[in-house]
Amino acid sequence: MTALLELDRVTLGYGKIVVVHELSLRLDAGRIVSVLGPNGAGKTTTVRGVAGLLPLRGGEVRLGGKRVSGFPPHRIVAERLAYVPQGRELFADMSVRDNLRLGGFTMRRRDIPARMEELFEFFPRLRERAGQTAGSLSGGEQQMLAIARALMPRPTVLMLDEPSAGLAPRTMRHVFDIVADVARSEGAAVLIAEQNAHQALRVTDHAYVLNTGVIEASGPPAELLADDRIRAAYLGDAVEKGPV
Amino acid sequence: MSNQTAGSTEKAPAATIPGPAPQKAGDGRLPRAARAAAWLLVGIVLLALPLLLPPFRTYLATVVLVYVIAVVGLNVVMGFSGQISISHAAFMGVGAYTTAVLMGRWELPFPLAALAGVLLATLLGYVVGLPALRIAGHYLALATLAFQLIVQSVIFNWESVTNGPRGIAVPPAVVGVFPLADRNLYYLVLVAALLSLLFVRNVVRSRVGRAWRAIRDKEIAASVFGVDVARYKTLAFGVSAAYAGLAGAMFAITVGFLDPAAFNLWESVKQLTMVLFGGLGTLVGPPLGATLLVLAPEFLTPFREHSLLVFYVVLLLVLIFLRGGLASGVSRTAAWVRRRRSGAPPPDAAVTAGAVTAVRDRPAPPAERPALTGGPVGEPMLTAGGVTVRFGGLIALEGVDLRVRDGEIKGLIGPNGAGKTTLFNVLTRVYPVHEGSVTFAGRDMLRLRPHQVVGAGLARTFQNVEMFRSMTALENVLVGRHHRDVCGLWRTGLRLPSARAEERRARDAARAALATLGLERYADTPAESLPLGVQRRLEIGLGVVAEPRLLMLDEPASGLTAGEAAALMDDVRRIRAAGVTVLLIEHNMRFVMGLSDSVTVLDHGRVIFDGSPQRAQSDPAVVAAYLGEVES
Amino acid sequence: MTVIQLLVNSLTLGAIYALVALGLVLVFKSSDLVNFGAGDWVLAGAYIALALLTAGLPLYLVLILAPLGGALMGLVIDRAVFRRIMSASPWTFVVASLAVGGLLRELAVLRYQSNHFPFPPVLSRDPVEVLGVRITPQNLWVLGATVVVVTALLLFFRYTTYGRALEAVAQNRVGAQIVGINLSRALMVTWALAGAVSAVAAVLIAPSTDVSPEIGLLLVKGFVAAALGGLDSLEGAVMGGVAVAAIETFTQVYLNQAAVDVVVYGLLLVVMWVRPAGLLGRRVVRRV
Repeated sequence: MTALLELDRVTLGYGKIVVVHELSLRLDAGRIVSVLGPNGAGKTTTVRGVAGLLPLRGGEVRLGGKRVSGFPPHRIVAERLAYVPQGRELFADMSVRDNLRLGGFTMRRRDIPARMEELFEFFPRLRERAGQTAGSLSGGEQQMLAIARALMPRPTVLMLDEPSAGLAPRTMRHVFDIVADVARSEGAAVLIAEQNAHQALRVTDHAYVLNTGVIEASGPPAELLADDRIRAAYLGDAVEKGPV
Repeated sequence: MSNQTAGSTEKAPAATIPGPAPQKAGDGRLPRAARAAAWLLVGIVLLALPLLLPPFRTYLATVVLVYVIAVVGLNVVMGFSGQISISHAAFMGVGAYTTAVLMGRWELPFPLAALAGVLLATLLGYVVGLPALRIAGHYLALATLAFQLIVQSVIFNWESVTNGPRGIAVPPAVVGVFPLADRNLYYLVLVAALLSLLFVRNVVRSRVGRAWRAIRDKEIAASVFGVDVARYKTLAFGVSAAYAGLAGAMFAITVGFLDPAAFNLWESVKQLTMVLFGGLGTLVGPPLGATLLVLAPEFLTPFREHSLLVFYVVLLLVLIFLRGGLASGVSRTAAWVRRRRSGAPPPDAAVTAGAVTAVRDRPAPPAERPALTGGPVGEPMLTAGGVTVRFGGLIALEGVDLRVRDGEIKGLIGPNGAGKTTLFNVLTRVYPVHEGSVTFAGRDMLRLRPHQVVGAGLARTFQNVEMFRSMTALENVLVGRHHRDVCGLWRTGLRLPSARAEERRARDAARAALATLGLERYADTPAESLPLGVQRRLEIGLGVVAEPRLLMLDEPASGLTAGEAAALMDDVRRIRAAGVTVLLIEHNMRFVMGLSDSVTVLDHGRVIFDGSPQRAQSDPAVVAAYLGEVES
Repeated sequence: MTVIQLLVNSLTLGAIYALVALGLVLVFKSSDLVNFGAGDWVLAGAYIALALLTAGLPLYLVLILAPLGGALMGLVIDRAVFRRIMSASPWTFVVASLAVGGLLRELAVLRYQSNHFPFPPVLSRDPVEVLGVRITPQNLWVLGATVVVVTALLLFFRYTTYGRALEAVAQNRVGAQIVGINLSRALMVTWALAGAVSAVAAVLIAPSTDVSPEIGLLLVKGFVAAALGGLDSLEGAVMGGVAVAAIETFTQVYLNQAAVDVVVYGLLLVVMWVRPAGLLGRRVVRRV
């Protein structure tokens, strides 16, 4: 069976520096997969590459078997991949409603209000704040808005970069639960790039551990947690044989 | 340009600059002997020119030199300090009209009139530079545009003084018994141009020039490492305007008649074109650009008939296809020729390959290593009490207390977004504090401006490595020394003995710091082409060379391989052993727990734990914050 | 002259400045760029209209075709220049837009020299007296058309999907791309729109200024208008235009003609210094 999203020996970098080296991973329909690893491991670089925001240096990205590497970001959205970047990248001076409306930029105009209502069911806080500007929301609300905005056009793949960043633990847990919930009810596959391994593993089916641009391990959460060496890495601990 | 030929016979500049820095800096440089020969040739030609040319051509050569002075100044503000100015012709107009009016109506001798012109232009330069403290980019461009238009309209409308649109005649200048015309004038302007260029060259290679370039590359980091951003920005505008004023004065006596159109907005754009065409931020580029573009209309027919039109086309072509200007084109070609001859791989390739593999084996540790054990931990050195910071409605820090004792390694940990980096920004005065106090070694930190923090003994690194990317590793580290040294514009520009001695000491210290971190071999490589691991160590080098009492590291191990992280732990221990207290933000638990004498845990803007690393690991609140099982 | 008459006179001038400012604001609002050649875009629009007129087209057709020509000009400039420097440093665009403006003017000079060409008004220029104030029908047409243009742009940005999308591009380029907005096309539309609005401004302005290379400089006041109102506010552009015109008119009458430019540009310098976001602008100015 072809994977919904497949990265095949993808190499990425900035300027003269290679950050991700021949990385391969796959995401199947209906699954939640996470890419874990410490800051600087190359997680953000990877998802930016998939979203079309960073040109690939090598390898290819396939969506539903179709090669999409080299596509500009808007064409990747049209291929029904949605991306929630780490910085959220909301339209800060616009209202929550306008942000969602723009999230539905690729949709038929008359479908937008109904879809917005659907998402308000998942994110009741956003309904309360519909008229406020995105910039005035709290961190958690902004993260919800970014996710809701990405979900507007009913993507088949939802890609989140560090959804826990800047959130209080309770909010963080709530965000992960909602993501799992939405994914299940809408049948979307989810790729989470996350530093907070404990949160991510709680909801994922399969995880890749990334360090310095290379996959160091992968497997189902239980299997990874059973491995002492890997578990050290989950806590963001890259020094395995450090002189402690 | 031929400063080396003019002055090098008795005091070869190369010998007095300590260290081999200029040699390897750009790979595109010609061999030293070839360069010396080239300068010698240029010098001879410049000296012989008026003897070979008919008077009209000498006049033209003089005009070229006037524009050389002007664009060297423009390059200071745009090329080196990275600000924007579209009013350079206006400053030139101020110098020219002041000179003309003072000579014509008040019958002042030329030197005095010119001096007045330069001073007035400089003063106005400072004033126009003031908005640069608050604004950048297109807002600053608009402000300088406004100044340009004001000067234009004053010249045009203040008829009783400037003669308005009719223009003003400049009386012939005589100094002593020498009439300043033709050859005499040529040599005067030549000397002025060479001295101008030499002065800027000296400044740019000194502490002052490094401060400008640091601001251009990364303003916040520059200020954290002790560069008074406000002062250096206005200084750049002042110097730039002084050059324009001087060029204006020379222009007045060269041309003999001032037409207001010579100083309008489009002339400013022309000068921009000269700088960009020659090569922004290079020493030879702008003079080259001025020479070619002033001469072009004389020798190329389309240029003569549609001078402005061709100028704009050239400008656009440069912006689109030749962004580094002629100078970068030449140095790239030279580098290519040299590589072809020596058969060596391009320099970047080596570094890029290093990024993935070579960095994994850590550089050899320096020969002598201080003991790795910590010294006795003493009295509180840094105390933050009840620090609260809000962004809009969001509370980033709420009543945070932090105490760092003299001689300890303190870990600051917490989940992403807990406020750790915000706290660093508070301590280094990058962010304002709404409530609370910060004292460091008995001083109230909240009274300091950001660039004064490092002088107080507190240095830091940044989470996303804030290097001065276009500067070499050595120059980067030298910025860390900025606050310890004192020589300013005049002393560095004139290369007074004090400035040279200071520069020598600074370079020695910087090289020593590079050696301690095992980075000597990168000394002359631009920071932007260094692998991440090397950049991290380099940034720490910047912190160390500042000789702080407290060094704050923001996630130093992120993105490092296991080997690099282990090496870094040793580095941090050595830094502490040298008597520097360390405050450390890090997610890498083994790194923090292995190094720290005590840790403070932040969560959601509050301190939830303060104590030993061992206790932290078993503290329920800390565990909960990390695992997300919050009960509070 | 009464103060009211002065105000009414400055209203038309204000509309002219506002039209230039609109072109500027429109671009800033949808790309976060300042077009330093905006005055010369209007100038180019005027010459396009002039060319159509001298080709023998009737005035009404010129009024329709000139904006299309302006849009085409915007597309060409985007393709040939702006697109190619998108990733360069911010000052690159400042310089490039100045150069494009200069180039447009010099091309016009190349074709038409520095001559003044009259441009026919749409309505009569014989003043009529309304409530003791004298005003010409042509000026009323200019005012009315300006109001229509501003309203259309306001509605476009506030209520249409594509208008919101353009504003989204200015607010957050990455955000805009990841919701599926074609960045390249959005910038294309922006410059086409800027060209069209410039041409509309040109045909409204031309009858009172004539078509000559000098209108480029006259229109630099449009910058002051835009900066005064806040570079991102369409309403601000209009108020800024009227304010600049009023300041100009009153300086002329109560101070003297020579002081006008100094006062107006001095105001720009002060605004950039004290309140760079403008008097009505909302956007926070980033400190580098």
